[in-house]
Amino acid sequence: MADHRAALAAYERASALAAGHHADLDPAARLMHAHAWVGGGAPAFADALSRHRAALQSSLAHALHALALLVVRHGGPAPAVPALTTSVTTLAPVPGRFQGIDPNAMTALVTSLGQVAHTLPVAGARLAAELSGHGLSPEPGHALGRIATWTSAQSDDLRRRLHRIRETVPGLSPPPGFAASLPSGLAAYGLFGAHATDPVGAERLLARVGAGDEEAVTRLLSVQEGATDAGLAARVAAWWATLSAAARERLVTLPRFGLLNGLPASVRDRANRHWLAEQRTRLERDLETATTDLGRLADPGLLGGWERIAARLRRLDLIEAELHPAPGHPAPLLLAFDVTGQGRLVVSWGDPDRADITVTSVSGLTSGLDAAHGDLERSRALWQQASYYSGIQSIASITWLGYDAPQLDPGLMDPAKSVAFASAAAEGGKALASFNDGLHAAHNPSSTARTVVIGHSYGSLTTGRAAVLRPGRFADDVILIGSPGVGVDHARQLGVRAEHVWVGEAGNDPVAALGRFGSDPGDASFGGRHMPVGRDVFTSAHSSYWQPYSVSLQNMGRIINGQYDKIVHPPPLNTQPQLLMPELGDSTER
Amino acid sequence: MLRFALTLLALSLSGCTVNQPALNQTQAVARVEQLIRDTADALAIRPRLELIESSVAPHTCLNDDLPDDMVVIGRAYWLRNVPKSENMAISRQVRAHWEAAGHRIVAAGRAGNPDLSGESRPDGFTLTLTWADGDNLYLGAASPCVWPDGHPSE
Repeated sequence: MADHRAALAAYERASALAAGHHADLDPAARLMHAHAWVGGGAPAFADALSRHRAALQSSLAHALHALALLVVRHGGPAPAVPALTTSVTTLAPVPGRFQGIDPNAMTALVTSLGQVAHTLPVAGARLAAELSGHGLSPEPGHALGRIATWTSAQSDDLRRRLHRIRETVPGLSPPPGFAASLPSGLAAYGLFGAHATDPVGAERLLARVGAGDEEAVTRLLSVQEGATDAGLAARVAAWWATLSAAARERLVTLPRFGLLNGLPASVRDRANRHWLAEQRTRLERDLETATTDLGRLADPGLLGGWERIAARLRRLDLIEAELHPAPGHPAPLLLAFDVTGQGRLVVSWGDPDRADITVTSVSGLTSGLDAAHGDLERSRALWQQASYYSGIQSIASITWLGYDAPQLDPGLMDPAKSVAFASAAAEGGKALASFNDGLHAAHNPSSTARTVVIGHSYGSLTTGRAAVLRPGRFADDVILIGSPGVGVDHARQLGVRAEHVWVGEAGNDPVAALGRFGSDPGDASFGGRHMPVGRDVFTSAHSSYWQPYSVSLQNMGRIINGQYDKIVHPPPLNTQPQLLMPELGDSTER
Repeated sequence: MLRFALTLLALSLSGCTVNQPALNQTQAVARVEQLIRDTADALAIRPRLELIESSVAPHTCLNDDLPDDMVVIGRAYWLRNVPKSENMAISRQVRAHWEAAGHRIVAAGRAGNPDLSGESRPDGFTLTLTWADGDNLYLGAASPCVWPDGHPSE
């Protein structure tokens, strides 16, 4: 009888411990369940937390069952062991593309883990003592101790990281009444960085970049071009956000540093302009030397080298000329450039990190740095048209000439360059996907910000190749203009909801008529939405989409603003049924 | 391959556009202003025209088939001092005026949307009446691509 009472008393004390601690990790698990969408290390940490929570509950249950059995063995009544499993299911949020998270929730997470780390060791020791005092295995108590140790380590790491973030990221401790928002990428790779996988070794490369290693910048850019790590830009953004002011100041002078996706646009602009000035100095010196050599050695073989240097200087001139502010438009930001090879140029009208709406234009056949002026004009026209409609919302319009677009030159039939083959778009698509990752990663947190990508001509194929690399995350709307195909047979295969894939083409656009890269986007079977562009004379059809106040430009502006109900439609040419030429009927019905 | 070759041919020939306007930049500005003001004058409630500053700068001709040094001249004006409740009535009046003037209606907004797009006849200027956030309307017009001096530079 005495034995059974002692066992029962031990059971009741253990039961009280279980009641007090079985849900210890629930608040933290609930918070992680609600925030794992940020990606990076968050899902892995949420999983680890979930496993430790399950282990805590099963250890307590195991201890209670062992003590209950002991009571029975000593002739007592079998105690009813309570269920110790709980549910932490929360209403999973549907995050916007630029959504941040509440830093106070992360503070609550750290606090909750800290409390568990403080109280659970005591509970574990008491449980082990109860069990061993009755000749039972103390393992469940020891398990609690191990869980407490893990929790303590996580709490310490997260507290240190959160403190660092709060110290370096402005706006996370706003005055009362103002909501703060922690960028999701910073949570993913800054706060939960210890749990993030790093398939491309980016963390080590960033550490080297931080030390001023130029070769590490080159290697990171190479990884970036491949677009294999969708989290790379967010990792770069998180890394940059927690650097000291002195380190940042030093890094903007590093060659090619401004090409890293995920850096703030203003930083990229500053770094790129610095690098541009440095290149000018170096190339002018090289040209002087080459000119001297040419005169001294009179060797015609040196002419090629001289011309190469001169051509790069001309490209620098071109970029500098295009960076002059245009009246009535925001100052342009130089997001990327390269004067070697076919050249690169990425310029934004408006700050994409702060804009309510960002639109990126991707050009195709014959586009490139040397012919950038028209593409920059198109982006300015888009900015102007979208801004007319947007009220207080701000627009950033980006010209993205970030790949070797096919050219009408003797290399036309070279599979690597020709419009007739998709390889240029495949490579460009990777670079575009990566650039787009950077736009998301560097954007100020926002629950309403939008992103739109416009692919023109062959650029629509490049856009399609990029979209499929980032399904569900690429853009809110994709507009395909004069498209010869996007590499898929149906709009939904782009990873963008089909009703947000818009297809605009003049009925007489010869490039659109090519339709050779997958299904013709202009065909109803493709499943995109028809964007009316008006009807134009044959000779201007392929290039008339950006004409000021034109139907096509206005409708692109409407889609950019999400004002789908304001799209204008051509009146039917003939309201009578057209049996032989149905295209002359009411196009609004298609 | 044949279709591709034909396409390239079409692209290469497309610079041979017929009926190029011979206006110079100044004449294009005058025509744009005339198209807008004639339209505003035709409205039952005469609006005050407020110039949208960013519309003034000449645009580069964005037609790949035409020379880069041609320009497009445009202007846009907010229609002020008109009741916002009159937006649809204004749209109907603009449509009637453009049609009476022989211009072509190129596109229009659907139910409740006053937007109109047109093309002037016979000279092919782009015309617009557009709704913007805040229930504001603007009238705009843009020229076809013109040489700044009315002819190719030497």
